[in-house]
Amino acid sequence: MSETIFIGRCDDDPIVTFPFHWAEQIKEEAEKLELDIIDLQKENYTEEKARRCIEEYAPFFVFFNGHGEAWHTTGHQQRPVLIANKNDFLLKDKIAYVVSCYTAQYLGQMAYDKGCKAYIGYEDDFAFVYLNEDAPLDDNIAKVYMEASNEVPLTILNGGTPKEAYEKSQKTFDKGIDYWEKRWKGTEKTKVPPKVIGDILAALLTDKDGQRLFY
Amino acid sequence: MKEIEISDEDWKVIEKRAEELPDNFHIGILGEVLSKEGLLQNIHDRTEFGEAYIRMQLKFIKWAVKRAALPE
Repeated sequence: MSETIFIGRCDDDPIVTFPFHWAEQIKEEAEKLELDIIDLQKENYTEEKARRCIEEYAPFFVFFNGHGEAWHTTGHQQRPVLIANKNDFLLKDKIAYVVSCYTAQYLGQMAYDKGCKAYIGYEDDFAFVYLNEDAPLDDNIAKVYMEASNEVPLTILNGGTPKEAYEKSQKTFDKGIDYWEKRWKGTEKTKVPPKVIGDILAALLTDKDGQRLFY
Repeated sequence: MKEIEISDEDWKVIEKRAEELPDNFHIGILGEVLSKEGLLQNIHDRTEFGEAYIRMQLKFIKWAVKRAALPE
């Protein structure tokens, strides 16, 4: 089996900056495991470059981060990179994880129908909350979403099956929900206002419920 | 995906809840990161973002009621 992974990520607007930085943890883990890494970033994260890299190096795992619609996920400047019924065949025999809104509605199914080994993505909005305006990436609240999302690639890189990766991610979402539920009910203390906790939970529930596995 | 129906009353209730959020609140969803002020504007204008936010809130309220977790 190939020992190469593909990461596509962009940071050209405030929201995709989060998954862009969350992917750093995945890159570090891949380096630790001595895997070969294709890391298409920023202006290099385009449809054409992604196609060339995937065709040439045949990574066993592909990890896309960006905005999404039901039929595609986007790269630099919100241009589509992976598109249903256009280049979804690129995922054939690969495990894919796509951190974008909505792609599990159609793109995931289409790619799976064309031989994608496993596709994990989101059917609904992918949302998160933070309070630390000055250093959003160090925000303790936003980290809960990163931990649950990154469980997918971390499990795959360490030899887990797509089903195990999905289940671990779901459990980590549950752990986050449980953590904030206790603070919302007041059984554990926090300085975070209850109204914000409601929103943290709303985003966690949306992300967890919307996460889909085609396998 | 199950669509959640949003009534006029839902818009009003969620807008009122959002008004009580702290000023340093931020939410990332649908390609936007919004502050409290931006969120309120989107709910007020009933934009796509406002609708996504309301769907999330309704999902949360449904979950909270089911778990009998909603505070008085």
